[in-house]
Amino acid sequence: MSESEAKKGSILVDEDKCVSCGICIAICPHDALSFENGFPVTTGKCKVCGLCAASCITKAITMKALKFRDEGIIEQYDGEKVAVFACRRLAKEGCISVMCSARIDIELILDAFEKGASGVIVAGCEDCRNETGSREAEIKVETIKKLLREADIEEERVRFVFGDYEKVIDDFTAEIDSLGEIKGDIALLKRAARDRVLRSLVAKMRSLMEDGNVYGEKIPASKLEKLIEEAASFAVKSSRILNVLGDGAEIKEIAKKAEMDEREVVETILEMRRRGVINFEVREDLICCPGV
Amino acid sequence: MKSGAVLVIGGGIAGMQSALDLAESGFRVYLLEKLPSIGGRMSQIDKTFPTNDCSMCILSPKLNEVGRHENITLLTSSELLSVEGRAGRFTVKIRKNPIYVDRDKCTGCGQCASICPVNAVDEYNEGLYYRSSIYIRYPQAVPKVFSIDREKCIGCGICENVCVAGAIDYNQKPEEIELEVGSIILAPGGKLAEPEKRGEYGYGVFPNVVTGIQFERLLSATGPFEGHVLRADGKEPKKIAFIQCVCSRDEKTNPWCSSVCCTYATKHAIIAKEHMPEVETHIFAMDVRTFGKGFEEYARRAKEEYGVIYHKARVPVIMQKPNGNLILKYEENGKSKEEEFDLVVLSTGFEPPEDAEKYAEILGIELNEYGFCKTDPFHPLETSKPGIFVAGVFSEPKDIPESVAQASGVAAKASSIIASERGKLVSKKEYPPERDVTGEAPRIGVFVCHCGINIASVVDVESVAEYARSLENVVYAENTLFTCSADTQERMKEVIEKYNLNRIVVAACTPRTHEQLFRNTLREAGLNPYLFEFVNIREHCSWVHMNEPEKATKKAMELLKSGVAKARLLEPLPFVEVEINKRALIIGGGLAGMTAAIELANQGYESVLVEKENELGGNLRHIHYTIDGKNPRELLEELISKVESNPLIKIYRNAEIDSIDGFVGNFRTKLKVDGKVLEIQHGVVIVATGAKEYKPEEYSYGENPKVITQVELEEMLASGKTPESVVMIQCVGSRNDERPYCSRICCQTAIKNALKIKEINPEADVIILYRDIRTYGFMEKYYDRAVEKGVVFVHYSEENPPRMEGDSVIFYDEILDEELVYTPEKIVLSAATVPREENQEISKMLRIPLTENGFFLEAHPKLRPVDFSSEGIFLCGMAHSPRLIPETISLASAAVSRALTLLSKDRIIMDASKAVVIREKCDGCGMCAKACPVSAIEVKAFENRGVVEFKADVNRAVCLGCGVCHATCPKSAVVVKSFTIDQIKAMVDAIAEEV
Repeated sequence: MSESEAKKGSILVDEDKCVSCGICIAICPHDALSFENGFPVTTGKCKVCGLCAASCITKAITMKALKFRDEGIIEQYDGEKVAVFACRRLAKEGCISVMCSARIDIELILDAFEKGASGVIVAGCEDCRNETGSREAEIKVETIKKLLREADIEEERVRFVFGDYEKVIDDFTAEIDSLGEIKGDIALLKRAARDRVLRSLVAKMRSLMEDGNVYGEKIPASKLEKLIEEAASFAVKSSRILNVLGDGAEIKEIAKKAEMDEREVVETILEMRRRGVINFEVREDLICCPGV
Repeated sequence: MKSGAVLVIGGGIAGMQSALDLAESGFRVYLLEKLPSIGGRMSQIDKTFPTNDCSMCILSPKLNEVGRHENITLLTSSELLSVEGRAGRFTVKIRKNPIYVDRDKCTGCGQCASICPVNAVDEYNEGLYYRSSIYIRYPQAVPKVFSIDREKCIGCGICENVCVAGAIDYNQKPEEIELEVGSIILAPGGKLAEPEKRGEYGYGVFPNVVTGIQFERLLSATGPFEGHVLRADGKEPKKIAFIQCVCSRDEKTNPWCSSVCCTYATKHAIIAKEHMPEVETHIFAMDVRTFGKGFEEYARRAKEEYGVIYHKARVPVIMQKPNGNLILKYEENGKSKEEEFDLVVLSTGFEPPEDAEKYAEILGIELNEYGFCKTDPFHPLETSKPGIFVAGVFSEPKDIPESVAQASGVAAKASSIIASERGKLVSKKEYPPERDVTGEAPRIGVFVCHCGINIASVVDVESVAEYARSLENVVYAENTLFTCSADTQERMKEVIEKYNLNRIVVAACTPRTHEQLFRNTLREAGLNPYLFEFVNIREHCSWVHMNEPEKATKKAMELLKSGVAKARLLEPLPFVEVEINKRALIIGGGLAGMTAAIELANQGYESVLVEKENELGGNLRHIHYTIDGKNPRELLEELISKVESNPLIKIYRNAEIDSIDGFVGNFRTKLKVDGKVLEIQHGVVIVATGAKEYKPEEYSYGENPKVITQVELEEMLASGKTPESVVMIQCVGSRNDERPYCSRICCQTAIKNALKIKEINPEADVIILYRDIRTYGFMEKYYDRAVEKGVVFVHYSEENPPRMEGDSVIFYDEILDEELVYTPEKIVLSAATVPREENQEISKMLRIPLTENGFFLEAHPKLRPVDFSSEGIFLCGMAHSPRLIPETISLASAAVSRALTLLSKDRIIMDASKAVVIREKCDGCGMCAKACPVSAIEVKAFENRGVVEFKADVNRAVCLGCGVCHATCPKSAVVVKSFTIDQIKAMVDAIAEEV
């Protein structure tokens, strides 16, 4: 537990990171969270599904119990070619068992790839005990597909399965075999998976489509898909730039190292600066440097 | 029953000026703006020509003034639904569109925008940048309230959670309101043409082709690259082309001239050079139309000082190279040329506003052939419907000063029909009684401003506030995000009461823009406003020490310490009030002067109209017809009969001003009329001395009877004599070393006379030798018509002007590349317009400045075109600069509007920082009286216990508080309150001490 983390029932909240956006409160299937002094806190209703932690846009929320945290969950991964995250109701031997598929953070899936998995299955229940939990997990898997595409990695490497995953595991493994090992920068995508805008849209997607927004309208899936695609694309570009930025670099240099078009770099850094991710200064050319 | 309220449509600079003039002269104003904030086009501009003033810095105080004015109701994000009734009483329906933010609760902190996950194209930055879907148009926007772009918002609800003020309200609904107003002013501005219409320039396809307004954003510190001009690929351009007349003077798109683009391109080229001294800038124009006051000199500076290259060419097509550079192909001097640039700026022109047709329909006004608001040349501020007036670009493309002048002008027009209702709907601000703080020990409150990130990103403002708490007599200190915000004003009042404070120090920005605001807050809290001290830790600190945050923090502490030291010694100062004499003196009985007199009389105010000739009319007497077919003789007769028959107008002919004394509201003028001297008292002065045609020394004028001026040609044509052949020579006596300015009116005069000759005798030969044809605005069509009718236009360059041999004119034809000789019946010189000699005398008497060219110099070339820096004196007509009939009428009405802001009041409050004589110390030596630049001090005899002593005495109404007397007095017997020697010494001592 870091210094700024505070116990709030079954979760820990890093008060330096929390922006009080309220997504956790809105997304909780059990209405178990509320604000206390501007920070979320769980009540006795909490079923520890972990959807709040998986959806937190700044990753300020972690689960109190170590085994429910990202690092505790990924520890279960045993090096298999196909990593399976499954709800404990569906869990079989060798899979990574979680309280609910809702607990799956997009970053967790990337962790599995980083640790050597060539394919990932997320399995959730059709009759999820946490109401929307498995639907939320499905959206996160869809998001990973978008991120993979941005890094030219086959999106087939990740699949969401409702119910018993064993019925597809052979086919899936065969498919993964035919794809071979991952060629692509997973670390880059992990950085991208922390993008606040991307995480906000992913966390809000289901409720905006199914429950309606603050104006009482339901937003069409296609519109949200498009927004998430744009956000994923930006998140990856932004991560590419951050990866090569060092203490500061010229556009030319960044474009070359990040293998991006110079115009794309300029467009991306403008938005990055607006979000306070980087700063830039102009001497002969535009020079970017890490920001506040 | 008439209504004492006016609806102003459009919250740009014109609408704002109209609103302020009306609100200051006794009328309630509803200012309607469709966007969420006022400021209009001017808020997007980086610098303004021809002075290169920072646009936002001169606009921002006006924004605040409008935002805070008790008689102006802002209706932002609103639209006009319907209008019924007629002049004097209209019933107006308006829809206030929801912004989903509670205007009263929003503090403008921006937390919502920083977390909003949905981007939108930033219109303010012309698509060069993004904004969030909850946004504020620009950082200094008024009202400082965020609003939700409902088109973009997906309704995720995050902003509601992060808003600490609880200002988000997704349930806001459109609200319809009904207003009663006496008149309506239309100032919706114009739209900039979309260069996609000229596909051959590749806009939208080639990334390094931008528009003028985009270039403006690139230059701006609040633009995408913080004021660095960069291409889309982040490279600094080395060679920039500016292409003029993109969708202007173009039969395929818009045939009219947009009037502003030549000067703004000149500005762009100059500022680009200031940003990047090595950059090459080229302007491609058919004619360079820098016709406004000071614009020609500006273009000359661009050429001579900045090395801007002007090409007389129209660029037909642009091509892109693989590296993003652009190839321009064009013809110049009959030769085909090709040149590579790395950035191209398209100087796009004005079109009618998007809502032009909607306004026409709702208001029942007519539009002209181009879709702009139709006006009559002799009634330039009136629409076709009584009671509805128009200002700014909606009636014709024009620049800021012309728009501001028209805006004041329409304010006078709009109020004149409801003059009987003056003062009936306005509220006077009530203040609580002032608390007596004499004898109290100083209890100082300090507010240290973050100014968003302007100060806080450099200066450690928390430490500065902490430091403030350690200073003697400081009983309270806090940090504020924006000390100027409306919520902080409320907080300041609470704190003053809670801690029983009797001095306030604000460490923030500049008194130039914000001192009045805080002083006002003190008054509202029951403190004398002079118990306030401003410490500038932005302009004087964070902005200039951006790279040295630690030293800047230390300096901010020192500055604050010094401010606190002065604050301890502040004393309450009494208000200085002067009464206003309600009569105006108008100097000059030409078109401007007579128009001003009639406008004043329409408002119920007396004027004294002084004309030096024995006839009224001035230059208007010499105009026999106008380019648009109006009859100026009728106008002249109508004006003369109106001024002569109006009992409120006293006319003196053959009169001259002998002397003018006094000050705003209380002038005394001696007139010499027919050898007799008489004195008149008046509250304001309107200077309308006009100008005259230059008597050329060139081209053997005066010696050769074949050589005449345009005015003489017009007299000749009017008397029925028409020459068979003429050569007209433009710019005679203008745009040269002696008279560097453009005389503005001569191009249209030449074309007017040429068309008249062609009308009488289509077979006549007319050749016009010109440098640039400057038929700006809708006058372009007469240029086209002249070409159609066979008038021959031949360009000449400054270096190679036409010359005369005997009765022949010899000129070089660039296209034929040879010298031509022609012997016409008449050689007509388009002679300069020159100022009147008596301007010198009047300038001295009124202590008002002249330009280098001898015209009067207004208080500010952009925003105060008819004011002088000295209060109570106004300017109009050709005394300002050469101009046409409609422009003169606009300016005259503007001068009246500005005068009304004073005349409508019984008394005005002046700044209380005035010189005060400490009688006991004064020897009556009179040094201060001699030093005083405004003669506010006199040595007078005073009786003291039966002994008569001579002592200095200050006329507080005249005193400017400059302090020259204070510095001159050997005994410190005269001090300027709020800047005493003791106070300044305390400040210096405090700064000299270690923090």
